[in-house]
Amino acid sequence: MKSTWPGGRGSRVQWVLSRRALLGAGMTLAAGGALAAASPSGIGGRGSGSDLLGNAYRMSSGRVVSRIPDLKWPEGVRCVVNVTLDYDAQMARVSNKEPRLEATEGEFGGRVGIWRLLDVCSENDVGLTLFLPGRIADLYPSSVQEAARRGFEFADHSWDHPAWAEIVTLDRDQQREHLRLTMERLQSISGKPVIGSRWFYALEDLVDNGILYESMGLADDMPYFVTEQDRSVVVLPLGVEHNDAMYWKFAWLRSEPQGQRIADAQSVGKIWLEAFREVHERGGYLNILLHDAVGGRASRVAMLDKLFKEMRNAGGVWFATCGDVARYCHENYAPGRSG
Amino acid sequence: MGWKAGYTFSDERSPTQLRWPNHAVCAVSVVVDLSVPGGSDGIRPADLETTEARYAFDVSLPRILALLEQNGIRATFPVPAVIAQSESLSVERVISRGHEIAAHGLRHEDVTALARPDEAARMDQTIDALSALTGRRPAGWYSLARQKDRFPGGSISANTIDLLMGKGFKYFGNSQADDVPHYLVTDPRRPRKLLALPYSYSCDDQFFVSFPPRPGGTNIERILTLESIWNEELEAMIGTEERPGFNRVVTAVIHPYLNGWGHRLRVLERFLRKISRRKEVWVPTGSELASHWFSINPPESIEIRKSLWRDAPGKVD
Ligand SMILES: [Zn+2]
Repeated sequence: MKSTWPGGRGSRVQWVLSRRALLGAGMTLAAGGALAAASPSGIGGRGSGSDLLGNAYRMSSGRVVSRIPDLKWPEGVRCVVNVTLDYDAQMARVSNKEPRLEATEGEFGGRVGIWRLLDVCSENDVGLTLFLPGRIADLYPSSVQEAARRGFEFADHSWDHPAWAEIVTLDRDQQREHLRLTMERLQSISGKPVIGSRWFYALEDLVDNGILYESMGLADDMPYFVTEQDRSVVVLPLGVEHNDAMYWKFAWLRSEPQGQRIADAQSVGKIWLEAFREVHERGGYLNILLHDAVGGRASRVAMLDKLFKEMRNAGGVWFATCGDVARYCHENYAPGRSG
Repeated sequence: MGWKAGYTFSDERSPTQLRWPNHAVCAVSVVVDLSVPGGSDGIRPADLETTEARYAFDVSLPRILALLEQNGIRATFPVPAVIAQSESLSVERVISRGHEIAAHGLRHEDVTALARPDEAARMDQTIDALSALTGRRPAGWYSLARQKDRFPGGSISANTIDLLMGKGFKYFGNSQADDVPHYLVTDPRRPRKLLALPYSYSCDDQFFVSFPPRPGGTNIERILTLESIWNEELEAMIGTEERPGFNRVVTAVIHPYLNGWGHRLRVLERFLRKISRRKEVWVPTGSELASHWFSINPPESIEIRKSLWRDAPGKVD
């Protein structure tokens, strides 16, 4: 099957590269609008000005970002917390060519950390969403099966977590094949459809495979939609400050030693609790991103246990899965719907 | 890509429900790295004349030894062979206090790119140098990182673990794949396994004091964060009334060239006093920890699932 990139192969590659640049700069991976704003052609607001609708803007690529004005949560819900877990184990380490002894830290995630994070979420009745590379089911099958057995949600996180240098060499067909393989593998374990993704696939491919949500980017701190050619997904926004790797992973994605400040667990817990309090007051949305290898260390799991309990005690918190939130938004706020 | 090919691994899931000696609920291992900063090929003679090296051996080490003694703690000292030779008086002082001496490379050099015969010869030289001083072959081998390394896990080559197995080492000192000892396997077709002791850079002082070092870094002092992490890990292992402990191992790593006076020494003193006074804590040397592990989880008990080593059918990579 022959395929072309939206807007031509060149622009697609540029799109991927600009995401890479954002990541390299230590910023949130931005989906949609925020991404275009960072690319040279997006600066200056060429697209956004003319199509500005208050809560929506059109990027030069044609992609439309639409926020949800006055998003109201279901009856009795004051705010929403999504706990998400990128189950990378050593996959990202090996593809990023970390030295052997460094990559062993990734194995800690698969052998030890994942189990503790499943437990602390179960114990606190938190609706965990796991973003999984399809191949993780080959490396650590028992933990993946256990996560399914406990009813946690599975979402796509690439097939084998390739490094950036490799991502840009994959053509569209290969990307589709990776997405299909991962979804198949995860669905065969959970018995439930995979409806979410946290990776760099074309929106067209996501929607055509039944994906309802993405979870990167911060064009809003509430869930919002991105639309291309009548295809829409919900974006469940993620702030880089809510990503555990920023505090606990030395040399994250090969960052330089000058950037390393390994934090104690309580400092991170304090930041996240403050973030939660503001979100709780406003009736907002919070996405906490954990990684098995760093978030699964004993002191950090103990901190999460306390944090989840404090959040629950605040009252009115919906510890939803990402799918819960995405479905709710699609049902009530899909772009083009009136009201 | 073989995710388990070319580097070291263990079984799929770490064992749980562990038993420690003396009814302890967890273990704390104290590791004192006796190396000093060197070049990329490790410690050169001139590196032993720097102010920080002289401080390490002449001022700091005696104080740290006294602290360990006051608290009845025996630690594990990874010692590069060149240090054993040049600073033999210091190392003898360590031995006489009952601490364990472990190997730490010939010059604490980066071995990643060494040819196998070269690495094997350096290992033999290291074993000889330490044996001459201590009167016995070292049981453990460490490959801890240097403060200026790009990654904090330390360096091994594709051959290191296999060579250590061949030379009869009882344990490898620093692997991050667990927070309890675990077995390294280099070839799934052969039953050879080498025990690795747990390590995490989050409990290693060199990444918190004067880090990142000059030139290039800003010498930021964050030892109070390290103290907090040591305590948090310890408390998480012991548990609280609300939450059972994880019952595993904390490995606290210190460097005499970076620690030995002032606030840093006080942090160390507080931690050593705490672990020596809490009855829930067992404080073994590397070799004692390894022996205990052999008794509760012998190498034969570890199942290496073949599936972990094969690439999956239908792979696209
Ligand atoms: Zn990942």
